[in-house]
Formats: sequence, C-alpha cells, structure tokens
Amino acid sequence: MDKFVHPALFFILGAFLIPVFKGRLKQIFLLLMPAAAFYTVLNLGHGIYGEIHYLGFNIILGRVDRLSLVFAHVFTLMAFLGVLYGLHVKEDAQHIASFFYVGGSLGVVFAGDYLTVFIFWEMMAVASTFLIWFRREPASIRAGFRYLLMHIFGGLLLLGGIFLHYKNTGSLAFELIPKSGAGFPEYLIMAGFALNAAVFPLHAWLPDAYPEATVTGAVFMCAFTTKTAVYVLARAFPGFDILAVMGTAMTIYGVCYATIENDMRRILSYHIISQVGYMVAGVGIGTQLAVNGACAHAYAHILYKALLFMGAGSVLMMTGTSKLSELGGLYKYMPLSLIFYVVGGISISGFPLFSGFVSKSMVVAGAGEAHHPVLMVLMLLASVGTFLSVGLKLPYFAWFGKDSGLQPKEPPKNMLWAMGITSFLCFLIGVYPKVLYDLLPYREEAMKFHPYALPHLSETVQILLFTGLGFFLLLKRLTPEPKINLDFDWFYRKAVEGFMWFDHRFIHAFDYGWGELYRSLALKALMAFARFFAWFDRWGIDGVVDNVAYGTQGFGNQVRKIQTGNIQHYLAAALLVFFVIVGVFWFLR
Amino acid sequence: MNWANPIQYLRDHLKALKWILYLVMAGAIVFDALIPKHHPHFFGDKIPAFWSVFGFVCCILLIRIMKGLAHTVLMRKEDYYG
Repeated sequence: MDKFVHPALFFILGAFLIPVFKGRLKQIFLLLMPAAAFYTVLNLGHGIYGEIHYLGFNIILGRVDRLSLVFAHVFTLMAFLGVLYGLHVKEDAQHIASFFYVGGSLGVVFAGDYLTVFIFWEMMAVASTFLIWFRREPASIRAGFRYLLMHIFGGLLLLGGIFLHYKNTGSLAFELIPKSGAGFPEYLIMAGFALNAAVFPLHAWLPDAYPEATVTGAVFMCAFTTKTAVYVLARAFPGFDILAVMGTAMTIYGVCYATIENDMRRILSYHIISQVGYMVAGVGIGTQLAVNGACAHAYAHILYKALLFMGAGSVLMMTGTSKLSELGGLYKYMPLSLIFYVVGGISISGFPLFSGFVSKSMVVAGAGEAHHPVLMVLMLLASVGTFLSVGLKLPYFAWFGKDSGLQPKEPPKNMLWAMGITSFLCFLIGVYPKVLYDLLPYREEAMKFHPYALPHLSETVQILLFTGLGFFLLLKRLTPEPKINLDFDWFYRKAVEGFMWFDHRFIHAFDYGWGELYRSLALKALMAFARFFAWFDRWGIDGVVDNVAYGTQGFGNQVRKIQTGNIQHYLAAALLVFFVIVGVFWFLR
Repeated sequence: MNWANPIQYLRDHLKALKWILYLVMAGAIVFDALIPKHHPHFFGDKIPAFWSVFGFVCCILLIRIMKGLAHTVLMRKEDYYG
C-alpha cells in the first residue's frame, strides 16, 4: 500500500463529527469509524510514513512494523467492541472522550519519535480522565483529579527523560535502547512508561480510578493505557532485568490485593496490574519467545479483561452497586451476563481452550527457557490467585452466594452483543491460537510454540482444579467485607491531607493572625495618620490656599477703592509719591 | 430461552457435580503421572502431582496470609479517606 492513512485519524477527526449525527445514524457512524480503522490496520504495509522535518526535529507519525501492527490490530478491534458496548449512551461527550483516548493510543503505537509519543501520551491521559469524570459521582470527580495528577507526574518524568536523552544523543528517535547505553535519562523515560503500565510502586492510580469510571468508560480504560505502556516498553526496553523482576512482583501484588477486595471493578483493576505484570516481565526477559508472549498476552488480555469489565459493568449498571457484599443470587436474573463473565474469568485464569491459556503460557515458558525458574514459579503462583479472585470469588459472590434480594434485568442488547462477540474471540484464540500467533513480532518463533503440549496442559489443569478445591474449602473466609484496603495511594492521599493540615494549622493560621494584627494595629495607625493629614489638609494646606485667595481678594478691594476716576486725585497721589521718592533719595544721600 | 435454567440445573445437582470434579482431579493426577516430560525447567516439573499440591497450598496460603494482613494492617472503613 503506497498511501498511508493513519488509523488514529478515524478517531481524532471522527470525534469532531459525532455531534453532527443523530439517533440510529450516529450509532452507525460510531461503529463505522473503528471498523474502518481496523480495516486500515489490516492493509498497512511495513515502512516509515508521515515523516516531517520541523524545527530541526525529525517527526515520524507512522512507523509500521510487526510490533506496532499487533497492538494497532487489537486496539482498533477493542475500540469497535467498546463502542458497541457503549452504543446506548446518549451523551456525545462520552463517545468523544473515548474516541480521543483510542486515537491517542494509536498515535503512540505508530509514533517513531519521542515528541510524537509524548503528545499522544498526554492526549490519552486527558481524554481518559473525562471517562472517569463523566460518571459524575463526587467520588469519581475526586478520583479523576488524582488520576490526572498522577498521569501528569508520569508525563513529566517522561518529558524530563526525553529532554535529557535528546541533550545526550541529539536524537529524538524512539528506538530500542541498548542496555549498555541506558543512563539516568533513559531510566526516567522508563519510569514515565512504567507509571502508565502501573508498575509497582507507581500503580496505585489504577485501582483508585478505574472503579470510579463510567460503566462504558472503564471498558475502554482497562484496554488502552496499560497496554500502550507495554508497547512502548517492548519498543524501547526489551531485556532490562529490572522489568522482569518488577513485572513478576506486579503479578503477585495484584492477586494479593484482589483476594481481599470487595468492589468488583477494583478486584478486576488489581488483576490488570497482575496481568500487565506478565507482559512487563516478558518484555524484561527480552528473548524472542518472551517478547512474543508479552504481545500475545497483551492481545488476549485486552479482550478478556474488557469482557470482565463489561460483565461487572452490566451488574453495576443494572443493580447500582459493584460491591460484592451487597450482591448475590443474580444468576436467576442475569444468566447471560454470568455466562459471558465466566468466559472472561476462565480466559484470564488460563483454562485450556480459552485465550489466556495460549498467551500467558508463552510468557511463563519464556521465563523458563531463559532460565529464570524463580520468576516462572512466581508467575504460576499468580495464576493461582487469578483463578481464585476473578474466576471463582467474584462470580460466586455476585451471581450465587447469599440472595441479596436484587432482581435486576439483563443489560441492553448492544451490551450483550459486545460481550457475546468478545467471548467468542476469547474462545477463538484459545482453540485456534494461530490467528494470534500470526500477528506476533517474531512469527517464526511463535510458530514453534505449542501451548497444548501435554506437560503444560497437565500443569495448568492441576493448578486450576486444586485452586478450586482450596477456594471451596475456605469459602467462608473469603466472604466479602464492606471495607477498603490501604495501598500506595495512602502515601500521596495522606501527604495531601497532611499538607492541608499544615496549611490550615500554620500557613492559614499565620495568614489569619497577620490579618488580625494588621486590622487591629496597622489599620488603626493608618487611620490616625490619615486623620492627621485630613486635619493638616483642611487647616494647613486649605488654610494657606484659602487665605492667599482671601488676601488677594481683600487687597483687590482696597485697590479698587483708591481708583476714584478723578484726574486731580491721581495727580495729587503722583505728586505725593514724587515728593516721597525725592525725600527718601535726598535723606539717604 | 431462559439461560438461567441450565445454571439452575447444575445447582440442583451440586452433589453429582462435586463428585464429577473429584473424579476429574484424580484423573488429572493420574494423567500427570503418565505423560512423558522432556527438558523440565524446574525440579517440580519432574514430580508427579507437584502442581496439584502447588495450586492447593498456594491458594490456602494466599487466602490466609492476605486475609490476615487485611484484618491486621490494611483494612479500613469505607469513609477512611473522607
């Protein structure tokens, strides 16, 4: 293909056209844009497009290779599913925000220089913040501000790193950074990326904000921010050991918190951290197999995590709550949502025949083949926790468990269709992994990988079955509690609270005291001063000026009386003056 | 079609379901003992039923440790942040 059409254009320009259409036509338009973008991605040829020389910078808008294509492929596909899920939403602004959000992540995926990366990076941050704010709950407004502040902080880390990197190398090219050439600037860039990938300890924004987003917004958010970050890490930092370690830590950290959480969407958010951990670890291990695994897992994860958020979102939308402690017994009323949710649940848990099985195993095998047995075992431990929380605990307490008395209906048709199609895709990838493996960056390596090898099959089935056994034995201990759990956001939320206290206690108190002092002392002195000048003005200045005027007037009056108009008087006066002058002259001589 | 019916059917036959699952577990262990295992990456790969024990123990530990941590350190009232 000679002509390059940037797939992000469908979203960024399309967003402006959304308010133009009405009713059914708008819905068709909303679905058409991601479909057209998906079709464009399918037909993109490899190469460098959209190169602009501007102010001495080399801007590359369209770098197309296997790595960017696999992410663009799933992003546009996900955009279609997300739009379908949110098709019933009447508010244009919500669609516009999600369009800009998707456009931003596609912009990052095809960017060939750091400047372009940064601009689209910030577009994503701002657009996604609106997906939180549009829920319009007080908690969402506050969470949105925290989310935005954290992402601005991450963006600044990235920008600082870009500046220093440019100063050192003189190039803005967004390329693989060799391990030996990485210094402080490169690690700053990595930290900026890592914040978006929710790498521990920069992760707390995710479980803080996602559960407060709109039902449809959360479906978009769970797909794009973290996976765009995985893409940029895979582009610039494959083979960095620290990512392998941090990624594996994330897999464990996420499942640990999910075990004790009560809010459905917060449980799923912690599992984003856990699942993105596999991808970050895959990137960090850096072998062809592991990077393939990271991309495959990102692809599969976007679909099943969106499916899980769709299922949980349906429950939230139809019952008004997402707290497991307030739910239960919904299977009679929302069976289809349950079935679709469970497909997502067993996909993320890595059940054979579903997508997680063929993607997660690639990262785990990557760790094994690269001789990191500890990382491998820890990742398998995390998959125990995944099945425990997402596959068992959440559906059990939402759809079974105690009867909550809620009798909700199934969600609207478009939401069911979106869930149905996503479920099918999870199943398709599971039974026919070639569709996914064909897209991976190292295709030959991917073709050599056989997820359905007997030892792997046996290992997975055993882990899952006996996790299930453990769950049912300790079912009572897992009863959800209407509480929240402290996480790293405690540090900045309490720090802000502490600052507010300090401000109130000291800065505000000083300000108030100063104001009082001013009012009681300085103001009085000023008033006295002013009164003195008022007096001085009246009696001093005015007195002088007025008396000069009165004097002049009086003098004029006297002079007027001398002028009688009779010539003999004037002559007599002149003679008198003459004699006086002569007399004085004679006397002085 | 009412999709709740097949789910209700399974719920009505919980006992049978339980026994089927026990059989599947036993089958998984037997299966693991029989299959050939080439180039394992980890010592546990060679021990039959290792991953069964691993899954079970990890699940129990995860619940116990995290619930313990939650009740001692992490858990707060929902209005904790005001």
